Order: sequence, then C-alpha cells, then structure tokens
Amino acid sequence: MGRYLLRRLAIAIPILFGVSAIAFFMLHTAGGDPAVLKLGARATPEALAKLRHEMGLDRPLLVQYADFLAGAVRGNLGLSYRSNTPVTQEVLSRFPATIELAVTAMALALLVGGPLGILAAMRRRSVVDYLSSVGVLIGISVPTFWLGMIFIIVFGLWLGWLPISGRINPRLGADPSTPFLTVAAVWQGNWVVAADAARHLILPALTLAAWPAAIVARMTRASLIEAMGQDYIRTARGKGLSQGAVLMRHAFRNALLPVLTAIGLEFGTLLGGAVVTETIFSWPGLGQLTVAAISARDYQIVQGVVLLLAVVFLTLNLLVDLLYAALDPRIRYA
Amino acid sequence: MSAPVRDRAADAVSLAAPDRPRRRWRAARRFARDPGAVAGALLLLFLAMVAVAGPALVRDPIAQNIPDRLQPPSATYWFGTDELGRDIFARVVGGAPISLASGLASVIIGLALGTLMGAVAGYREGRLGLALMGAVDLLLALPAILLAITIAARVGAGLPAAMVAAGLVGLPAYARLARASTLSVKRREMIDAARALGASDAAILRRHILPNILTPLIVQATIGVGSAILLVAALGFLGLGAQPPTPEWGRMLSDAQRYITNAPWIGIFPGLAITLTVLGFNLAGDGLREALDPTATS
Amino acid sequence: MDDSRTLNSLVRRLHAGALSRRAFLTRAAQIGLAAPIASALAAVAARPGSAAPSIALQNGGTTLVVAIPQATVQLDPAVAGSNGYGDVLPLWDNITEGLTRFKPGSIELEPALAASWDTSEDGLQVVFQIRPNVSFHDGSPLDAKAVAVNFQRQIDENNPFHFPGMTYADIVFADVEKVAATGDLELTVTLSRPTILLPGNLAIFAAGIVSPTALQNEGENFGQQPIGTGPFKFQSWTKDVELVMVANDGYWGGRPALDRVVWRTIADDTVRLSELKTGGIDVANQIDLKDADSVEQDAALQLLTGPFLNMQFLAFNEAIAPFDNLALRQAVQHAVNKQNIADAAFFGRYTLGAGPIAPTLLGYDAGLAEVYPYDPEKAKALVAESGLANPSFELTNRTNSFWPLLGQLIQADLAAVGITATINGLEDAEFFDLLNAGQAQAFLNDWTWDNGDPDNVMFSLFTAPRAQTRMGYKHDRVNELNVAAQQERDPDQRVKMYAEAQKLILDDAIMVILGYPQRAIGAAATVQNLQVSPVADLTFREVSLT
Repeated sequence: MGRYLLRRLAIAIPILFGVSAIAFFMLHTAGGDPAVLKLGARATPEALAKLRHEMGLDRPLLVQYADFLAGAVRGNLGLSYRSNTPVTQEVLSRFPATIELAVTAMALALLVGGPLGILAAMRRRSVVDYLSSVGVLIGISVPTFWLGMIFIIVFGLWLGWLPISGRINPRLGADPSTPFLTVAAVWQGNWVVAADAARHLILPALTLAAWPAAIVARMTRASLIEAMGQDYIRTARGKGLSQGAVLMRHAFRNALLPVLTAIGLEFGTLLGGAVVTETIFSWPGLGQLTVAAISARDYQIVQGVVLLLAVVFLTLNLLVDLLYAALDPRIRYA
Repeated sequence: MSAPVRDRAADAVSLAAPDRPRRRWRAARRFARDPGAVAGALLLLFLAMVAVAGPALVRDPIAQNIPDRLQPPSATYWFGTDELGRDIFARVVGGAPISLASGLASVIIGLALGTLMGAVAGYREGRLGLALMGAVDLLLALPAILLAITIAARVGAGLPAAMVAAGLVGLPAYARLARASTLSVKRREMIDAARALGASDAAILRRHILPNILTPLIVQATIGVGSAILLVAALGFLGLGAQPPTPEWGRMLSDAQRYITNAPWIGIFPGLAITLTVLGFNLAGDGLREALDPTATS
Repeated sequence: MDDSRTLNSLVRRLHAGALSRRAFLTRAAQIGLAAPIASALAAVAARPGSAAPSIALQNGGTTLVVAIPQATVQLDPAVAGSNGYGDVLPLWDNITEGLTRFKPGSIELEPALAASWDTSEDGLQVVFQIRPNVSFHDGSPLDAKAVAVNFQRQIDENNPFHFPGMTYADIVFADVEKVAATGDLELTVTLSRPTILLPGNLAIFAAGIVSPTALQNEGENFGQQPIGTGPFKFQSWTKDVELVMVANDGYWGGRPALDRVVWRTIADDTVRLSELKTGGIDVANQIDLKDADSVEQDAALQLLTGPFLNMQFLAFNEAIAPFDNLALRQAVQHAVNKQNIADAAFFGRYTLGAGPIAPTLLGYDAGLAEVYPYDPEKAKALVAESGLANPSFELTNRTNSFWPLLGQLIQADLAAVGITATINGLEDAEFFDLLNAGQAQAFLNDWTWDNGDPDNVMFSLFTAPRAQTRMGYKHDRVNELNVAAQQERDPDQRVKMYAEAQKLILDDAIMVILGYPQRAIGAAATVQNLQVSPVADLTFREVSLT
C-alpha cells in the first residue's frame, strides 16, 4: 500500500511538471504582449521595451521557465503581471468561492441525480425511467452558458425570485471574498447574511449542477441494474426479501463504487466548468479570475490556476482509486 | 495511473468486439427495437439532411437588412431576425454544416490520435507505453476549458483552434479505451500466430488489433461528437471559436446574449439547435452501446 | 501529504479487519471533503490584512452600489489606466484629486487642490497656490512638497517611487521640465516650451495626488491601499470583484452625503442592467444604448445621458497596400453607411462622424460631414478610378463590445461597392501588437479624450509617433498646426488652426470618422445629483440617495 502511494506520487510529480511546462510554453509563445496590456493603447515603443525588461519578458524562454520552476518548487509562483501581488495569494484567495460553488453544485447533483437514478432502476422501462432518461439526456446536451442565461432571465429578471449575480448583496457589508460565506455566516449566527448568501448561490449552483446531476443519475441507474443482475442478489430475492430491502441492503452498496468514481472524476470537470458559470454570474471564484487573467495576458495567474487544478485533479483521482481498492476486495494495490 | 473502473468498463465493452455477421445482425435488430436509439438516428439523419441540402434552400445567412432588425418570429422570418436584420432561420440552417463538421472534425482528431497512442501503449506495455499513457494523463490533468483556452490563445482564436482543442480534450478517453481493449485483444492466439508468421508490429496493429478494438471506440466517439459540439460552442461563447459573420451556433449564442432580454429568439433557436444535435448523438451513441453490448447497461 | 498518510492507515486498518467498509467510506469521505476545504481556509486565513473574515452587517448609513463593466486591479492613480478603466473610476476625484478638476458634467476647469494658478508672461512657468488646511486620509498634511513628490515620481524614471506602467506621464507632463516647491504652499512648474495645456492635463486622473508618507511606507504596494485627499477613503476590496470606499469626514469641500460607495465589477451588460432593474445596484455605468429606452420608461429608474468625448474611426495604413491608394481610401469613405451604424449599433444615440474633433469641443465642425457623404455609386466610381481590380483587405477589429458589429456592418457596405473585407477579430493584446507593428491594413478603433481639449486627439492621433507607426501618416503642415495650437492662447485662433488641420486630414482620407456615441448611465430614481461626465469620470461627492 505504502509503495503504491509512493509510486502514485512519483507519477504525479512528472505530470505536474509536464502540466507546468505545457502551460508555460503555450502561454508564453501565444500572441499578445502582457506589456502592451499593462501600459495600455497609448504606450510608446520605448516604454514597452523598458517594461518588458522590468518584467523579465525579454529573457530567453528557457531561462524564464527555469526561473519559474525554481520558484514553484518553493511554493512561489511569482507575481501577477496585472497587480504585482503574489500569484499564490491571488489564486488561493479565489479558491474557496469556487469550492463553495462546486460543492453545492455536487450536493445538488447528488440530491437530484441519485434518487432519480434509483427510481429509474427500480422501475425499469417504466414512464419514470423514460422520463428520467430524457431528463438525463437533456442535462448533458444543454450548453451550460445558455442554461445560465435562461435562469438569469426567468428566475432573476422575470420572476424576481433570486438575485442575479455576485455572492452577496453589497449593502450588507459582508466581505465577498469570505471563504464559504454561507457556512461562515450560519456559524456566526448571522442569519441575514446567511440567507442572502444562500440565495445568491442557488442559480449558479443549479447551472453548474445540470451536467453532474445527469451523470450521477445515469451511473446510479446503470450500476444498480448491473448489481441487481448479480447472483447474490437473485439469491437474496429468492430468500423472499422485498425488492426495496434487496435494493437498499445489497445492490445499493455495490452500486456505490462506480457512482463514487464518477463523482470524483466529475468534480474535476466541475471545477473547469465553473469558468463559464462564474463568468455569467460574476461569481468571484477561480474561473472568473482565469478569464480576467487571460484577457489581460496575465500568464502568471493562468499558470497558477492550471497548476492548482491539476493538483486537485490528481488528488481526487488518487482518492477515487484508493476508495475503489478499499471497497472492492478484488482490487489490491501492491 | 489508470482508474480501474474505466478500464474494466472498457474490457466489458470490448468483449463484444469480434465482429461476426450474425452478431452484427443481432446488434442491428436490437438497435432498431430501441426507441431512444431510433429517435437519435432519425434526429441525426434529419440534421444531416438539413446540413447538406438546407443552406441552398434558405436566405443568405450573412445578408444584412438593417430596417428589419430584431424582429420576432413571423411568417417571413420563421425564427425572427438578429441585430443586423439577418434571418435567424437561415443562420441556424446555414450553421448546421459548420457545427456538425466542427464536432466531427474534433472527434476525428481526438479519435485518431487517441487510438494510435492507446493501441501502441497497449501493444508495447514497456517504457513506451508508460510514456504514452503519461502524456495522456497529462492531458487529462489539464481542465478541458483551460486547455482549450490555452490552445486558442496559442494558435489564435478561430474555428480550427477550437476544433483542435476539443479534439485534444476528448483524446484521453479514446486512448484509455484503446489501450484497455488492446491489452485484452493482444493475448489472443491469432496475434501470436501472426507474429509467428513474421508480421511486423505495424502490420499486426493495423490488421489484427485495430479492427478488433474499433467497436467500443466508435460508440465512445458517437457520444463524443456531442461533447465536442458543446465545447466548440462554449469556446465560441467565450469569444475563442468561430469569428463573425460565420453562422456558428455557439458564436451566435454568444452574440445573442447581448439581446437576451430584448430579443430572446436570437439565442433560443441556436441554443435549441445545439441541444437537439447533442441529444441526437447521445441517443444514437447510447443505443449503439446497448445494441453492441447488451450486458453493459449504462 | 498528510491526507495520504491518514488514508493509508485507514486502508491498512480496513484490510486488517479493524474497520468496517462502511466506516472506512465515511472517514475517507470526510478526509476527501475536508482536505481541500481545510487547506483553502488555512490559506485564506493566512492572507495578510484579513485576520478574521468580516461578515458583520453594516448598520445605518447610506450605501450606494455602483456597477462598472471593468475590473479593479491596482489603485495607484499614476499607474491606473494602464490596467483598463476600472481602476480609474473609483480613484478619479473620489479617492484622489489633482490640482485642478472638471466641473461635474462638463469640461470646464475649476480649482481643486490648487486654490489658484498663474502663468508667466512667456508661458514657460506656471505657479500654483496649493489649497491650505488639506490633509490626506492618513492625516499627513498636503503641501507644495507633497505635490512635488507626486509629479517628480512620474517625470523622473530614477525616482524611487517611479513604478512600471506610468504611461500617462507622457501625456500629463509632456512639456514639463522642472517641478519645485517654491514655498510652503507654492509650487512652480517650469515648461520646456510654452503650452496652454498644463492646467487641463492636471485634471486627468493620472495627476491625482497621493500621500508621500504612504508611498514611503508602502512602496510598490501603494496601489493596494491608496491614500489621497478626496471626499472618499478607500476601505477594502476584492480585486476584480468589489471595492468599498467610505465618506471622508474631514474632506476640505465638506463631507459627502453618502456614507459608503461599493463599486462592483459586472462585465456583462445584460446582467448589469438586470441588477439595476431588480434593485441589486443603484447605478449602472455604461448602459448598453439598446436598453436606454427601457431604462427611461421604467418609473423606478432614471437614464442619464450626455455627450461623451469619444470618436470612433476606421483608420487606414497608407504605408502598405492596398490603402496606399488615395482613390480607394476615398471610395471607402463614401461606401460606409454611418446611419446604419448609428441605428443598428447605437440605437440612434450617436452623432454621425464629421471631423476628428468631437461635438462640444472647440473646433468641432458638423459641416465636415459633407466632405464624404454616403454615396455607393461614387464609391464604385472611385474603386474603378483606383485602378485596382477586386480590391480586398483585412479589416482588424477588437472582439469585445460593439466592435464586431461595426466590422460586419462595414464589411457589408464595402461588399456592396465591390471591395472585399475579411474581418480579423483580435483580443486587445493582439490588436495593439498588430497596430504597433504597423501591420494592420485597416483597423477600427476609437479615442476617448482624457481632458477637454481638442489637442488630445489632434496631436495624439495625427502628430505623435503613433500616427506614423499605425497609419504611416506624416503630414508636415498638420504637425505644424497641431504644435502651434498647443501654444496659442486665443481660442478663435485655435479654432482656425484646427479647421485647417481637420480639412487636410480629411483630404488625405486617412481615416473614416464614423461618429461619436453618447454615453448613458442608468440609476435608481432615488439617486440625486449624479452627472454624466464627457470625459467619463464618475464622481460621487455631490451625490445623495433619497
């Protein structure tokens, strides 16, 4: 087990290395000069050359990359081109907002997708099954950004039920960068802020949840059906246990494996998908930061985000595999 | 660092791989009896017809008519007009070949490269295989949208960049599937026989392995077209895909966002077109999978 | 890797039978969920300046929420503007002030931190009397020395407070040779040549005066917590998201009515408007003109419009083919249907283009619109005259906002007269790269005035070096006139000079002057005294909420 973990870590390092190299070289050879953006349309060529020098952009790429790596291994990802503040600080300060959104979306996806999948599996080829399949297919076929805009128009503008953008009503005076604002407010007993923050969370979380909800429903249904076809289930049923009891006691536990796997993997996708959702809802998370950084050619920030998400992805992948090993005795990692 | 569940699933699908006429016939019958699959196939057939014949039958999708701009759907303009007075029906129809082609092209890029990498990695399990799959994992660790944005930033915004990006995003799935299937296929006797007869590695890969691993890949690719179309559209939405006045659906949606409160029809119809197309590929893909492998129920 | 160790032991206990699978699952899930949360929390808690997340309610007081499309990134006024306009707005005459300022809603100058000023007979010296009894938000006093520090750090590249990105120094302090505190409250600026532009230039945001004490203490980090003299004090911000400023009780001009102003960044026009309509914000800067009518008709809202010193143009590069051909440039002038642009892109809230100088400015001449009337037939004739068979070129525009729309409209107009334009949409960075390299055959761009003087466009676009790099344009007589107008004190004489220069520029057909858009601000009906400024600043010192 220990050796397995070590090996996984040993693989993770070159992957992170590769990710950083790809991100670095692709971004740095992309068109668009960060100096131009920093100085604006009115800058003179001399001023641009001077700034490029100050930013170290006139050095050979390999030197710049070596410099970046040397800092990165010490946890220093350099300074943001735009604001001159440390990249790690900017990126990590935005991470909690994204995690809050992603965790909420995943929870919604489980709450909706799980029961839907179970229901569909229990009543196979029934109206419920077909309806849920249609729902699932629509969930994975609708463009996220389109769904988000429609939510804004319908629930925000027409019906006026929910706030449209941001994380909190600014008039309340709460810091919008507070990590886990909703939870923090509940914790402090500040119900006004908690309720407002929760209301702000609903539309973006629903938008982001559409895809994983469909995946969860589909995986739950499929693995439940597979599990119920197994010999021991038939045995259990033969012993006269009710279908519900069989489902809950036996099939469900075994069906959990692939569902968990899907969730773990989807969570990574979810963080990436947050780019679009956060842009639409002005959600102050990583995605919004990334889009802002890309349009300003702030490579430093983009690199930081890519690296962070790669670490999260690798960690999730590892956890999923370990869970899998733990739950399925047939799989052993030596 | 392969997650075992996916490889297992791949193995399960690949069991159906050895294609014999009788199996094929049975699969076709199963497909025809699945209402979802038939609906998907019909939808795709309809879209293909629209894409091929449609553009010749509608107005010029880029012809402007300023006095008629922002008109709601009517008998003259079935889907209404956009901010430049262009016929949205003509643009949705005219965009069909573009969106379909971009989805297909991305999948072909991802499928070809992924299959090659996966098959070689499966056939040569040693250092080469490890390196190839390492590269695949690397792609997987880059979040899809970020990878796409980076590529678009590199080669310049435009449809080709978006297609390459969507292709690379899909690549890991094909590579893993191809590797898993190859691992199971290469243990068969016919491979040993071919090798004993002096066939080269390339020939074995081409003649014996590839035909036997193709089925699950094609199923995956059918569903992949849908995701690719969605990703190309998302890139168009972020301004990194097709450039105006090209009537690409994602781009149209992105431009429509500005008018969504004043003239929602500008965005509703291309959005529906994307949803229906992706739906078609998903239905057909699911049906194909069930038909080819009745034991895999997902 | 603490998590893996914990997980590892969990797995070992599971295999040893010490742990049920369900218990393992629960614990592992806890680790899986808790780890990223804990690390993120720790990271944020460790952030300097935010000891404990403040989610306390703001009790009492009036808060105004204003939304702008641009992001706020750094708040040193001398550097602001280089990161986009988002940084400029909260600073400009809100947090920091200059020696002079524009009266709200106009381009008329009035004294700000300078109580008065005098220009010497030869026009080479300007002496400012600094306003007495003014102090910075950090309590340090404003005097001539403090102002001198602020100017010198922009002029002198070796000054310890000269930071990268002080682009506007070239514009604001263009002809300034020396700055000296010649008394406690007397500042003498020596010019290298006589120019009448200095007092106006000092009203530009980049000439905002900041606390030298804070500069000393913060160094390059000054832009993270600006200290000025303005009616509002910077309180807190989340970059790109939200910035809070509060009333300055000791403001020299009297405490503002608003207690707090929150600046939110909402990039999307539709979302910004929806927030305004649903009461999420009080002021929406830059209303998309297509929505102006609906804001106007909403009883709970008010639409504030006014002229905006902005000029949109289609420029040619006459150094490279095909626009080295005068007849072709003239053909395009007649081919572009400016009325279509006004209707389709700006919903009628647009003045059709005449000369480079925008309406309300000295030297604007509506009659210049008659030089190149919309006339496709004449355009076709000119294409024929150009001797080019099927001329084609690449039309470069930015991909944000209304630019792609303008590009497509012009593309269609040109197609109608037999000129093929391929649209090359670029993001800002690539766009300006291409322009600065002199590689764009023709491009769509605009110019927003920083001050209220026609010189700001006439010199900057047609005489400054960028005229030659971007458009291959160099005209001796135009340059002569533009420089002379900088020194001329008699407005009538200046009008004559600019009339001649504009005429020459139009004769060369170096750019199609498309038009001048209006600017609209949407506000709740409860917002009082908010003015639309022609130079696009947004000041709140006189604004109140009912």
